[in-house]
Amino acid sequence: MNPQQNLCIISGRIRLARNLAHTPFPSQCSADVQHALAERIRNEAMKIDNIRFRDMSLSSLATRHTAALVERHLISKEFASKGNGRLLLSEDESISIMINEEDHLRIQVLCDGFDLLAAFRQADYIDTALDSALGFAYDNQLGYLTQCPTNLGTGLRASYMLHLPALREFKEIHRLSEFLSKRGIEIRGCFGEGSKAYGAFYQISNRTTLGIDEESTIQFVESVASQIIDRELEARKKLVSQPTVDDRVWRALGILKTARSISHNEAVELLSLVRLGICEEVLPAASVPDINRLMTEIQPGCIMTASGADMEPSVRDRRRAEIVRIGLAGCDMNG
Amino acid sequence: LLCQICHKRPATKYIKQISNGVTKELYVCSSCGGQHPLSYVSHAVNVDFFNEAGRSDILDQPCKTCGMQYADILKAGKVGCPDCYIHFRQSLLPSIKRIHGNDTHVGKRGTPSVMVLSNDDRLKELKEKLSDALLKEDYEQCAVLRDKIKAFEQGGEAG
Repeated sequence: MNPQQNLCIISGRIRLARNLAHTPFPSQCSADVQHALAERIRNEAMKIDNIRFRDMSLSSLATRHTAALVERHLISKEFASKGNGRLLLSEDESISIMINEEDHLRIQVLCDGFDLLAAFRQADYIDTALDSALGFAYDNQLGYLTQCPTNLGTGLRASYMLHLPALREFKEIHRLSEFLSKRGIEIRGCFGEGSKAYGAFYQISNRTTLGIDEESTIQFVESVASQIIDRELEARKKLVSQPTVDDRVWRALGILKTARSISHNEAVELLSLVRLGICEEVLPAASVPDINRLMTEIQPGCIMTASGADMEPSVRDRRRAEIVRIGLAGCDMNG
Repeated sequence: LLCQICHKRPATKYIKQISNGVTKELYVCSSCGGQHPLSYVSHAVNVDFFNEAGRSDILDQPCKTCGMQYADILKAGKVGCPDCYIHFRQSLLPSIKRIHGNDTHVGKRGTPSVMVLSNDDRLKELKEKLSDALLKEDYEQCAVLRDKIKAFEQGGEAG
């Protein structure tokens, strides 16, 4: 992976689904039983060497805080909507364990660039430690047993979040999605589905978990991601050669640096153009990781959590514009 | 689909009789199917309700760990506990294979969580298999199963 390819990756994620043997899945357990299970899992997780977890009960968190956890990909939407789940979060927030999601445990490790294998090794280490203490449900034929049959086998979901503005511009995503679907890879928009994927941020992940081992799954997802990125970079060459693109990128930067109120969708769309402009050197050098961080900070739950209060959408839009202006203060307007 | 005799258990057998040009059809559970007068069960076939063949698990008995019935699983599209996969293995395998294009795990290996069947359960399972084989008129299989039941009742290993 060369640096330019790496710039198309926002983040990577590994997730393992695990369940305790001979124990009904959370949806079949009473609140008391779920609580007792969570205590047991938590106590064992706290004993794992070299990782310190923060223990959080979702029921004790403000809604805005839970929303922020979803926006930062630390928990799933389903887990957030349950309301009574338990979350163990590592200090650097790269590792999270959702307790009593659809399965008893969802072990998740995030990584910045093209490094899913290292993330998997981390998840595998936690899995092995917890398995020996708790005894996970496993069958020689079906592998790790999960509530939904779509996760049987390795229970592994490996995914990348990619920035694909040129492929979206040339309406390639739909065709790509159909092509990948037949090969066991899912692609979906991170902010809004299909052609409305705001900002052209997409997540690709494996669908098959039975009959393919962990390393092969990761290699497959990486190989697909790499090929998608190559196509994106080809399409970008064509896109930036169009005479109107530099104008669109500069205007996007202009609006973001001056707006006093901005919706999330508009901000994502414009930041996507600015990100493209930086990667393709249409704009003067600026930090792509800073743009990535800004993308996270401007989401509704994150804004309200940082401010420590719930906000009306109109107030939030003004605060978002302020965050963006501060975030882009170092971005030079003199091309 | 519920048994058309007891209206309680899920139907696992399809009984069809053609007499004087009149066809009679009945969907029954294995309990009721066994009690039904043999005159009626003159021509019975094990039907493929869920487009699957070769089921050998006990569809009208709930999972011992979570109490989930096979009918509940079909309705919810999800199982109740990890042991459901072992209890209803034969019925679930074809769908699993359809989802993944494969039905055998490769990769990291855990410790198999074995669900032990009681002697009564195993005997009942063998008898149900025998009843199925009889309905299919698979006499070779019947002989094998009768030997297994005999050996089991005498305290031997039923395999």
